[in-house]
Amino acid sequence: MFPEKYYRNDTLFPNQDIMDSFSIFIVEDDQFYGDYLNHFLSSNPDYKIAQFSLGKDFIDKLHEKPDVVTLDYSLPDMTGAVVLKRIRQMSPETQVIIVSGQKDVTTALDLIKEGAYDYIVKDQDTRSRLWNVILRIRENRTLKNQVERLQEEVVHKYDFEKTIIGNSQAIRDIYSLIEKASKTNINVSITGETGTGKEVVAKAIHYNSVRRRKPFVAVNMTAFPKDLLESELFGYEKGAFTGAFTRKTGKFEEANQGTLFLDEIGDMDFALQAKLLRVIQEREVVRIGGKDTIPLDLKIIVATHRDLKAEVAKGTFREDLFFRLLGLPILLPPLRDRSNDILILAKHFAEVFCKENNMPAVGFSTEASEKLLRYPYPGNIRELKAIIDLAVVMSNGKVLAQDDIIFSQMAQPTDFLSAKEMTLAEYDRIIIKSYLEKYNDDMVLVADKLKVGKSTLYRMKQRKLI
Amino acid sequence: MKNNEERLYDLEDLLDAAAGDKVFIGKMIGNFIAETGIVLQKISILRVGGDYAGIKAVLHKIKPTMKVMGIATVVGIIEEIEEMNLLAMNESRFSELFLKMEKTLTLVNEELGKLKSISG
Repeated sequence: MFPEKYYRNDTLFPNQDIMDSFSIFIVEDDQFYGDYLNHFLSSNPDYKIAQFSLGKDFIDKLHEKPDVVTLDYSLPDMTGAVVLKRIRQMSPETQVIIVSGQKDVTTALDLIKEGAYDYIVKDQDTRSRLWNVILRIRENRTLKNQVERLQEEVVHKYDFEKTIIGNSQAIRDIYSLIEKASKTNINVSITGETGTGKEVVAKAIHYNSVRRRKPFVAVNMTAFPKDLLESELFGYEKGAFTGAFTRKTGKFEEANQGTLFLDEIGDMDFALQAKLLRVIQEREVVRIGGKDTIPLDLKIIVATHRDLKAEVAKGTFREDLFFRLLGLPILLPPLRDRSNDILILAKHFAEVFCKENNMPAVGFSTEASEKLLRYPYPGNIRELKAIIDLAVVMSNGKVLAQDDIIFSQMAQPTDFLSAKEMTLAEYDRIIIKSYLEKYNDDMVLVADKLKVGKSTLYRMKQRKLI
Repeated sequence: MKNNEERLYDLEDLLDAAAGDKVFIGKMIGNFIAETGIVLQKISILRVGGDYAGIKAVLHKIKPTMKVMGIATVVGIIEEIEEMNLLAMNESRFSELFLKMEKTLTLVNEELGKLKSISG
């Protein structure tokens, strides 16, 4: 049967949202036609239908804010245009489908201009068109709900005390700076070694600011060749240059009302820096090959692993741009300078990884923890995360063992002095263990290398100190 | 096979919308019979007063119902009356069309009445 066939289309959307109750008000003074639509639409059990033959009766119930209204244009007590206006005022989220016997195109266009979602003429195709239009409205509603929910999730995700993990004084200072940066429209410059979490901090600032529901657009200056970067940032008009077949919106425009994050700003081409300075000063942008200026209202956050002051001194970074961008400076310390946070971060990453991969939670053995503390992390937090992810995968039990912790070849775990404070005996053990690891447990060789007696090492081994 | 012009009515659309619900079909046929009686009465009254605009509005309103019931003859009549010039109304043509519509609907109602009584 016809309705069943169309109803099956709904099952193409297995998302729970599409199965939520959906209210439809039919406003139709012809009882026969109203009943006809009512019966047909009721074939979808998700639809909650109410039927009205007078405009007034319908408006009295408009506070219930139906999802969709099918509205006959000519009602005995008022015109469809008047009813539509009331709907727009009282329930702007409600979508209105005009279902009318009038084929007049001007009337249809006027009503659509006034905010009607669609205009359907009563004929042989009315049911199929109405069914499809309502289906489309439901899909859009579902997508809108999903987007809103995702926005909420993102905001929640970037609650900075949950994303920027640590208990060191350095991190507590950073929390304070993020809070200050979020509350005002000041530009922010983030510096720190690679992997220290510059983009995470930029996102935390954006998603905790009043701009949180507007776009966060990140552009890495090193990701594009010089000429391409200019068109990425500024956009271009059709025909601006060979290959510009269509107009393209630039990142400045994309980020309008929100936040533009310019990563690795210290690597930006010198000539392009002048253009960026102009945009920041004037708060407007002109697309390449265009004439119109587009006003901008955005927060700019820049980040670099370079020392910008030094770049200014070298003449590779414009001083005027430096001062424009400096705003609130946030310096992210390398992980080795906040060794108190290493184990906190490690536990956090292990927990997240296990959760994401439906694995049971894991703990850390003392040896594994000590090994983690001895490593200097040249790749900072990013590297620690990679190490922990791998350790969880390699582990055979509920506790990560020393051997599960595998470092890359970039650095060796020797810089332990910057890790947690230990006794001399503990340092001794770490050094000996490190040498034993290096020389495949060759006690004689290690004793020789460290200029200690072999018996000392064997004794320590017996006591399980090494 | 008779074409639509020759058929009194065609319930295909209504049956399709009913999706097998016989109670609904019976109710709709009953509503239709009651509604057409009222409509014909209304038009007769409006004719006496020479209110052709009123007649056009009533006919315009019932046209979708006539389409659902597949009464092509009446749909054609309504469309012709809708096209007529209100300021220079051809009274004899209108009478002719109205009589034809009245006759058709009476026949349809009789047929549907029988159908309804058979189906219960």
